[in-house]
Amino acid sequence: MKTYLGIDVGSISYKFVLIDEKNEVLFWLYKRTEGNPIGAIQQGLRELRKFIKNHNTEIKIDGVASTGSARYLAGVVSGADLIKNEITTHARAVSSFIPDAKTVIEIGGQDSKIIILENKVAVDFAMNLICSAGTGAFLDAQAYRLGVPVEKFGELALSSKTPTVIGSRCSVFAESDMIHKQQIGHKIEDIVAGLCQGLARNYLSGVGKGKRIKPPIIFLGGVSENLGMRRAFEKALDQKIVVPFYNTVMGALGAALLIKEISPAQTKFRGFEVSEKDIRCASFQCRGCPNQCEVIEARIDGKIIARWGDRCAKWSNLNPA
Amino acid sequence: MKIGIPKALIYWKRPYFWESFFENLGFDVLLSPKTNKEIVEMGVKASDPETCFSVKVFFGHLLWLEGKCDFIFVPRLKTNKEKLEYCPKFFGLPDLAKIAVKTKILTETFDEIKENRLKALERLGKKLNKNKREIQRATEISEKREKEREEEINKNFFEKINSNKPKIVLISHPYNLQDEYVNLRLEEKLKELGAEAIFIDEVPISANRFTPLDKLSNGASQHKSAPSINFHWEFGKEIMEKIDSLFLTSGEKNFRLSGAIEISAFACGCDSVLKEFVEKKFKENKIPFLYLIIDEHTGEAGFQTRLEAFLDTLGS
Repeated sequence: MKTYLGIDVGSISYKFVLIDEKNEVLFWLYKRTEGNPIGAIQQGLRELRKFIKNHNTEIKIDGVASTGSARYLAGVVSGADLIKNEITTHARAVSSFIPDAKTVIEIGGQDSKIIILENKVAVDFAMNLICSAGTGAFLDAQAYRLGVPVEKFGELALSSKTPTVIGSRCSVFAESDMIHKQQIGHKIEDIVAGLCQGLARNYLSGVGKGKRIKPPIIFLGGVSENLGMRRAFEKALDQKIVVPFYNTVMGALGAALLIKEISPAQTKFRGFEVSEKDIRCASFQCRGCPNQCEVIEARIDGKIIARWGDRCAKWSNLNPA
Repeated sequence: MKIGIPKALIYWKRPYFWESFFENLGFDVLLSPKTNKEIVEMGVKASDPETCFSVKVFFGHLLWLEGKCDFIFVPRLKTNKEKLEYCPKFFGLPDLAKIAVKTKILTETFDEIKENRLKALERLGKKLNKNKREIQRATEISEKREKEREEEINKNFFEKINSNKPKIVLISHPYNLQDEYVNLRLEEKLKELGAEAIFIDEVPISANRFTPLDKLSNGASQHKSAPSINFHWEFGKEIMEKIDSLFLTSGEKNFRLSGAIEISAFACGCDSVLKEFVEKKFKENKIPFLYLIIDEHTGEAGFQTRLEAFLDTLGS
């Protein structure tokens, strides 16, 4: 049975999606990277192998695509046939599952983006520029600080009747403002709800600036799990927000769809054995010129499989073809 | 005697003029090298943290020249020939330079609201014990050289617009566009992604520049003309004129512009004004537009993601 795998490795979480030729999702997972992207990819592959063993041993992987901010690493480790940026993969998945979608709001661990679609095609997009205020990592940190599990954060926000106003231009100031509001006696649910509203506002004035946000509006990424953020966007935009199934794994799903379209004659997938191998990455500073590039070197069982990060390609050219 | 010129910021306003000028007066000229990590790090350390990235890079070049020459040339650019003002950060450069390095700073104020440029050049010459005739000669030769270079660049432009690849115009100040370290090798990256990069400063100002666009009778005027504002700033006028000229040429020569990318240095005050006009212009003409900010922390990874995605949106 022909199948295609999409791997999305982000700053906070990693996602795997396996589809068949009819675009049916056979397997998916969403887990925390926990600061170890290589380990995450290996873990994902182990779980997929287990799934195949227990459910359908007929499954054969005919193509792999990686995406997300660690897409190069994921691509090298897994032997991906396609390495694609996360904007294109998200747009691809949305246009296939929600053909009439016009706007995609995606907030992940460290990036937030907006994609504008016209007739199933991405025509415009924006990503947070040099500030990552209001992304998943910040919500995570605040949940931890308030002693609320991040999964309960949204529910708590919904229980608020009078959200506190939190200045959210910058996550550093937002945090000190939250502490201040706690100190003068605001209720925790009001602060949490206020934070969600602030982050939605910040997103719309930063990332969404100058974009025509038309419905249907699709909300994706880890942060779309947060009920408080959903409500905050609905309020700020005065529009219904659609959170589809697979909202957290859309990037991986898009990657799988893209590689299915290409359907390589012979996949470069390294196979599930790679999950048991010793994979290491190390970096060194090249002293060849004043640019002093940080070169990354990836090895599987001691053998160099790829190098990247150099501006002049002196090291990356040594890659075995 | 050796005169050092930092190859950054104001240098790129008139590249090749100053080298040629001083050389023709009989001086040795030392240009700082292409921007590299060391230079950027030196500049960032020495500059005020609130200043723009381009000024930080300039200070890196200045520090690189320290002790390697007799004078470092840092002109004070105030207004240009068209009596438009330069970025205010340029005004203070010679003063800040004097504090930053021990090597003597050679400077002169160019304020063409008050006086002709040649007058200022003559005063500069006096400081170097050169008479008016010598200055005039050096100026003429250097301006001729400048012109030759301009023609070469224009030729390059017409070659680029004939290419079959998707054509993307890059918009920024020359000191960001011409410096491949600062712009994170944008041209090379676009090439790798299969696109042709047209630099806005390569675009020749159209011969029709003084004809209001809506009065042109041929089909070239189909694009929407710029909001008619009188620019206060030198950089804004030139960039907007070149964008207009680009649209005109695309009508005349029948080539399609696939997209536009504007690059801005973090904390650039000028761009906060300019960006609004540039973006509006491209959006009105339905040309995909991407805005990127660069600074000393900019990761190439994030840059790459945006470029790849941008090209994917064009390809569809």
